[in-house]
Amino acid sequence: MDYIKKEVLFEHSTDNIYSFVNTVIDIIRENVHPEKYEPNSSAVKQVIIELCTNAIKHSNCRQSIFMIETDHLFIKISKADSGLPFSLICSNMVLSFPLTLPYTAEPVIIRKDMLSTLLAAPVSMNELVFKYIEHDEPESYDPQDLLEHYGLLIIAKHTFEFTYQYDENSCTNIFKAVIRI
Amino acid sequence: MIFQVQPHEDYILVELLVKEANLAYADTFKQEMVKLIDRESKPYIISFKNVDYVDSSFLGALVSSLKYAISKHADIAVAYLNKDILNLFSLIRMDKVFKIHQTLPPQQPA
Repeated sequence: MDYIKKEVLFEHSTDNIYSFVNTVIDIIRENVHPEKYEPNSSAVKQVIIELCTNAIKHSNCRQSIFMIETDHLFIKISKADSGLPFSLICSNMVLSFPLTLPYTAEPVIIRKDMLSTLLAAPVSMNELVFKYIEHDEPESYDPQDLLEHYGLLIIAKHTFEFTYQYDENSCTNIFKAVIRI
Repeated sequence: MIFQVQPHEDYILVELLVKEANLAYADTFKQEMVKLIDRESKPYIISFKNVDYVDSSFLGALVSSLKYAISKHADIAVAYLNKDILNLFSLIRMDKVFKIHQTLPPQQPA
């Protein structure tokens, strides 16, 4: 299993998701041993779907470049676009990239309900790591308290590491999802 | 048409007709479910038999529909989830939120 690195262009349209996901899956399947790929096939597929959905919903641009890297330990899927930078809401303030101090010091809660919490932990002015906390299952709960936003949480839970980077020089947003195989 | 509806004695079957349950259909699904629930407050079973994948937007619409259903004293369960969709439900613990049927409960259409 050699190291491979391939780029694929995603044109932002819901009509393109199905064929694009299959194209990326084919690249990965050709380069990752089935014993390593099959147990992670659901994760790989859902991560690609969610990155596509995220691109269409939030980037406000027409296309993004997906970078696929595989080796004997990891499948790495990155999405790069030159659309709107990721933003965080902290204490009713919108924090945009590049972040400014002191907001880079503490993880910011992105979403929280009775089942889980998703956090963004800045590691520099231009990069953050998504982390999640699984809550103990409540004995009873009110479904009305459930949130309806799952995209980033799904990627964070499927991956060994999930990060966002903002390249100031090229004004590029890079979401990188790393799946351990 | 995003789904077809088939009344049964104890529940209403909502069979999704789309292969890709994604953001393109999420809002329509939610609106159509609200209309259905407003018309009849019964248990609903959403069949994913024809669905290849579900994205987070559609999942959000499903949760929103469940919340609306419960507020109207109805309920929503799901059926025929393929391996990937079942894994997704389990991953984000929607298997604790929705009753999941492997197949439909054995009843005759009303």
